[in-house]
Amino acid sequence: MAILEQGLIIGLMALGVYISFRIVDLPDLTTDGSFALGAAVAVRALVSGLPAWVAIMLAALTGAIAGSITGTIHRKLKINVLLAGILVMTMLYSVNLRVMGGPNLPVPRVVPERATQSFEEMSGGTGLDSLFEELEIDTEKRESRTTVVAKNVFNNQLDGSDLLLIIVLISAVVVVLSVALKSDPGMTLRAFGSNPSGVVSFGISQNVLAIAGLTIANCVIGLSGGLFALYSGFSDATIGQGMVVTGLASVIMGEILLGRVKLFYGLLSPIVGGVIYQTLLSLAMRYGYRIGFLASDMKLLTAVFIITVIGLRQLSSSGGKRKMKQEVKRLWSNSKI
Amino acid sequence: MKQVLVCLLLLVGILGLSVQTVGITAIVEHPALDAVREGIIDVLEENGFKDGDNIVIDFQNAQGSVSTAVAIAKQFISLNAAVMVGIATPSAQALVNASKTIPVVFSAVTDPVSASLVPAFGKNPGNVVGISDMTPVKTQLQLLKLTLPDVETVGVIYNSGEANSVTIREFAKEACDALGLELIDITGSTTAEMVASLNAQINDVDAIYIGTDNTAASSIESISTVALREKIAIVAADIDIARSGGLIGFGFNYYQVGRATGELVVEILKGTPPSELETKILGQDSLILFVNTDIAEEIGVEIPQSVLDLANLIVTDGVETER
Repeated sequence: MAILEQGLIIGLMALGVYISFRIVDLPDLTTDGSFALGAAVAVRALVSGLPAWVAIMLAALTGAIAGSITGTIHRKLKINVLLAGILVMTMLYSVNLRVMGGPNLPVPRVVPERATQSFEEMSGGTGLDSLFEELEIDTEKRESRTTVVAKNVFNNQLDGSDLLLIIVLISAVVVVLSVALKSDPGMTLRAFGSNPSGVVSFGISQNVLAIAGLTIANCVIGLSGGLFALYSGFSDATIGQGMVVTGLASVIMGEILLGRVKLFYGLLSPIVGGVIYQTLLSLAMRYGYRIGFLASDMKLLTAVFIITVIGLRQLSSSGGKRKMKQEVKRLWSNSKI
Repeated sequence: MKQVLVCLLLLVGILGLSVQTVGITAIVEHPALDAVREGIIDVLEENGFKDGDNIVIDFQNAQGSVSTAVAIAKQFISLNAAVMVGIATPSAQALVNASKTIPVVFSAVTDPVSASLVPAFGKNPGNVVGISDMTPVKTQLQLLKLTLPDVETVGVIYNSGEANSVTIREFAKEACDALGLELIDITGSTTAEMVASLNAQINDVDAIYIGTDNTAASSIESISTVALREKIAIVAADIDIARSGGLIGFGFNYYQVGRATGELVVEILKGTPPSELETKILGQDSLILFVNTDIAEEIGVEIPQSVLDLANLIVTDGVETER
């Protein structure tokens, strides 16, 4: 059940990756940064005493802002989308440290009785004290900070309430997205993804569409980052590391299982993929050592998996093209006769 | 045939349940953190808890990924581990958040209070207890001032993305202010960035101080090359860091940190609830003073006899002797 919970949250992140990579067809690497941004913002909001649902909304909102920045840099400044994503991701690392006020911010679950003390204050000596008669330092005691114990939405009791909450949230996101993407502007966005120059005839600027696509994608990613941080009980500077690859692997996993399907199921497929990917990951960690597999090999395997699947798809589709070419040639030669 | 199979499965199941599982997880692989793990496992074995015999020790490394650390924590819960051990801050936080009932022992966490693991050092209600590796920052900077009295500016090298290092930097600032030293931050979130910012600022510093920073530990070879070229002394809080070109090192033996953690685990396996055990730092017996006289000669520094007298490890002519 724990794997299911985590898989669903990661699946939500994969849904964001699916939107940028598949629906609007822009390979967006902001993911690692916007996921961590969502996490940082959510915990910071909770620590400041805001209710959890506001924290999660703020996470989604800031994620969306990050996405719109990537989109703007890409379209207005004509910077390659990959580079734009990397640049924003890099900026977000610094931003996240600012938001958290340090590299790691826990959802307060205990009230500290007093501020952190140095080794010397706690131990009463290091055995070298005789050396420093002339260098004696008297450090005054630090003020204790006031911390509010925040009410987390997740109780981590595995009693199903966390799972229910996650499922409700994800269903809401999927329903809203599928309705939005079926509306006229949504249709245009999808059309933009499959044929960017084709939408010019619709009279909508490509810039607007690209920025909108990346904004929606990173909004979902920020939301999942916020959820993940609240679920884990803390946010860390490195929490977003490797998310874009995990997201891609989940998207591909979902496509293998469900195939390329209609919109609504298409939106569900990265979530299913995320759950399966997390399950495989934990099985690999659990039993992998028996075949000499180390947790550190996971990144290699994930990347090889993605390359293999994309490669196979490429080969089979180019095979298809070749057949078509032969067919055309045949018809051509026939017509000559 | 089928019945036999079912019986066998049941038997395995019952045997499996009767064996207690100790789940150990670390955020990264690192000499200090590996030493902690060895210390834990050795103490468990000495107390009759041998992996594969009467307990199962399940070690999982998160490879630096927080989401993996969280997955590992959930996995330990589903295995119904008797004790869960988290080495370094993110791994410990993942465990502490995952369960309010299964005992959690943390280790090598500099600041467990800020990390929200426990409300204070000493006995705490709840299921969490552990060993902090809070290093004697003040003493390390006093050593620096004593050995290098002419130093005015100290460059502190750390990764501002590591929680432990930021806490240490705060203490360093306090000590520098008291000693009349100026502190200069030399930060980087990767080894490459760290070396670049060191190169940029090397002319502004008279000495270098390195805490228990993982990124600095990984780039220490490059750091010490730059420092030696400029004849600048390095004082480190980690003996392994000091061994790679440092002048003085004063810090914990991480194997001892692991042994102290192991003792907490043994107590819990024997039935003591975590609320009756104390969260603590190690005593002064576990601190090691390391001095490299070769480096002192190379950069033209004379180490006071009083410091040499108290040193546990001295490097002379390329040979390290223990005292």
